[in-house]
Amino acid sequence: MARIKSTSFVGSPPRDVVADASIFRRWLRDAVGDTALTYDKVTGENTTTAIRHTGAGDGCQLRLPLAAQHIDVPIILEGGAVVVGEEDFYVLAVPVWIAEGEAGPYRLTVTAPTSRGNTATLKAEVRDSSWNVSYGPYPGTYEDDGGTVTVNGPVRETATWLVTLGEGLQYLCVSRTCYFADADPFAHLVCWSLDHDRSFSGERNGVPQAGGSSVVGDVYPASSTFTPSTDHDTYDEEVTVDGPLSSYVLTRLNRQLNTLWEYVTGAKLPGNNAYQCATTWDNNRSSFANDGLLDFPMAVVALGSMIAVTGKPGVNSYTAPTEGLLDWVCFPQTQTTTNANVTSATMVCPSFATGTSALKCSVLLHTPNGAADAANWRFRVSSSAGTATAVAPVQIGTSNMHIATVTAVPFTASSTNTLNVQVAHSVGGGGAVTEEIEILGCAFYFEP
Amino acid sequence: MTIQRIVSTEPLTDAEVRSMAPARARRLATSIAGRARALYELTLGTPAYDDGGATPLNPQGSLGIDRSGPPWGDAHLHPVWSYAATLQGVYPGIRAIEVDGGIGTIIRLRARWWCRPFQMAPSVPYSRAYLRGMISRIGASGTATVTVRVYGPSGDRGPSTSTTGSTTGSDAIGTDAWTPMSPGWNERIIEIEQTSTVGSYIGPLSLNQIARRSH
Repeated sequence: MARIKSTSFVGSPPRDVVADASIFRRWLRDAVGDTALTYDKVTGENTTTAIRHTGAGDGCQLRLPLAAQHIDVPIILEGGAVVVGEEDFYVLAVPVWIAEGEAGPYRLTVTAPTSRGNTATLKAEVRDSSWNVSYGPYPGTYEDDGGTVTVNGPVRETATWLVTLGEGLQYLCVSRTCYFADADPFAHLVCWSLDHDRSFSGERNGVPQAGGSSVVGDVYPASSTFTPSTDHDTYDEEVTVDGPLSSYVLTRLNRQLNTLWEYVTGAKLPGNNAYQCATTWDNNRSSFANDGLLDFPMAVVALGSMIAVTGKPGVNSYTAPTEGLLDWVCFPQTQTTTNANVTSATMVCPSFATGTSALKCSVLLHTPNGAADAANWRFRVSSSAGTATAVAPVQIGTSNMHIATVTAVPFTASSTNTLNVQVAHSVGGGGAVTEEIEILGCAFYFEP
Repeated sequence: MTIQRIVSTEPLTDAEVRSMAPARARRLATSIAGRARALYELTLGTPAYDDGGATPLNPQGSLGIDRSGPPWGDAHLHPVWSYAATLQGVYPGIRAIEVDGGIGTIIRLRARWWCRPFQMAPSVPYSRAYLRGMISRIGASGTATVTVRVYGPSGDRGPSTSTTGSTTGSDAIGTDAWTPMSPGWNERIIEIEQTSTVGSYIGPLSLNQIARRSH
C-alpha cells in the first residue's frame, strides 16, 4: 500500500468545499497528502528533513536574544613606566554566532557611563571570520543624555547601534578612550546586550487569532501517545475514486489533524477542554527520534577585553601586572597543565538531544606578543554532565586574534547547567607565563 | 466575488465522523482541508498559496510558529540575562559577588535585558524570568546563607519574589525567585541579603525562560 503524501502543498479547489458540493475524492486525498506532508516536515519522520526555523519555507525564524550580560567593572588605566598615555581600548570584544537564516540588523547596547562628553564616545565595529572590519567603527546613539550634569556636561549612559551581522561566527568590538587613574566616577563598563532589531514585531495581517471555535459537540481528543506512522497514516486504497466516504478514514484523519494541531501550536485543540499531550508525549519533541535539532544561541559573555585599538595589550605583565587596565582583563597567570576556570555561566538549557550534544562554546583570545603564543593553550568546558574535549585555538586570518571552539559540550536537557570554561597549557613550563594570551569573551550556542 | 480558499482551525466532532453520519461537504472540507492548510502555513512559515497567507501573524510579525509559547508553538528553555563569574582561576576575570559584611548586608544588581515578542497572557512561558545561580561559602567553617529577591516590575518599591541560598561549601541557590517579564526591554533589581554571620560569594547568576507551555 502506498502512503499518501503530497510532494508539495496542494490544497483544495475553492468550489469543492462550499455547502452542498459533492465530496470529491480529489480534495480528500489531497488533504490527506497535505497533512502527511506537514506531519513529516514538523517531525522529521519518514526520512524527511524536519524544519529548522531558518525561514524561507523552513519554519519561521526564532530570533532569540543573543546577549544580556551584567559586568560592572571599572575601566581605569593604571599608568607607569610602560603604560604612558591614554588611548582607545576595546572595552568589549566578543565572538557572536548568528543562526542560519537570521543575518541582518541587530541592536547592540552598551552601558558604560561617562561624564567626559565626546572624548569617551563608544564606537562599535564588526569583524568577519577573517578579522576584517565589516561594519564601523561608528559612534553609538545615546539613549539618555540627561540626568546628572558634571563640569564636562551630562553623564552619557547607554549607547545603541544597529549593527549588521551575517550568519555564523563573527566578532563584535566596542572601543572607548580609557584614562589614567580615571577620576570620573562613572568610568565603569556596566552591562551590554545584543538582540534582533524588532522593526516588524507586533504587526497583524487581519486574520483572527487561531484557537477560536464554534464547534458544538464532543471533539475526538488528540492522541496522548502519538505514533502516526502506524496509527494515523492513510493509504491510496482507502481513498479511491467512487469509493465510499469512509468513517474510518475521516476519523483517523481528523484525529491526526487534532494531534498535529497540538504538536505544532503547543495549544489545546479548539473545542477541547484539555491539552492531551501532557503525560507520555508532553509535547517534548525529543520523543521523535528524527526531530531536527535547531540552531539556537544561548549566551555571549564578555570576559575582559582591553586590548588597545592599536594592538597594545591590556596590562604590562602577565604574571604580576601593575600597569594597564587591571580590572578588566583576563588571562592565565601560570603556565601549567592544570585547568583553571576562565568563567562559569549558569543557564537553563532546552530539551535538545544530549547524546550527540550540539552545544558549542567559542572562546576569543588575543596574543599580544605574536600569534605563535596561542599554539599550546587548550580550552575546554565542563559541567555536571561531563567535560568536553579540550581544543587548541585557531588563528583568525593573519591577526593576533584566535578562536577556540569547544564542541559537544555535555549538558543536561531542560535543566539548569553551570558551564565552566577552562584553560590549561599543553606543555606547562613551570609557572611564569611566557606565552601570553588575553581571553576576551565566549559564546555559547547550539549548532547541529 | 472573491473566491476564498479554505482555512480553518476547527476540528470535526465525534458525531460528524462516525459511521452513517451525514456527509456535510462544507463541514468536512472546511475542517480537513482547511486545517491541513493552516497547519502547513504555521509549520513552514510560508503561505500555502501565493496569497499572502491565511493564518495570523505571530508576535514577531511573521507567518508561522516562532516557538514563543502556545499557540505559537511550545517554547524552548534558555537564559535571558547573565552574570557570568568565577571564584578562582584566571586573573582577574569577573569575580563572584562577595557578600561578607555581616548579617543584613545587602548587595544589589540591576539586570537589563530584551525579551523577544510573545503573546501576553497569564502564565505563558515568556511571562516569567526565573533566577538561577550559585552560592559559595567564604572561609572554612559554618553555614553561609543569603536571601535573594528579584523585584519587579515596579522597581524596589514594588513586589518581589525571593529564594534562599545555604551552603557549607558551594551549591545552587533556590529556584523560587522570578520576576514578571514583558516583550521588549525589562529592567529589574536583584537584591542579595546576607542572613548568616558567615559570608558568601554569589555567582554566576542568570535569569531564564524555563517553561515550554505554561507556568
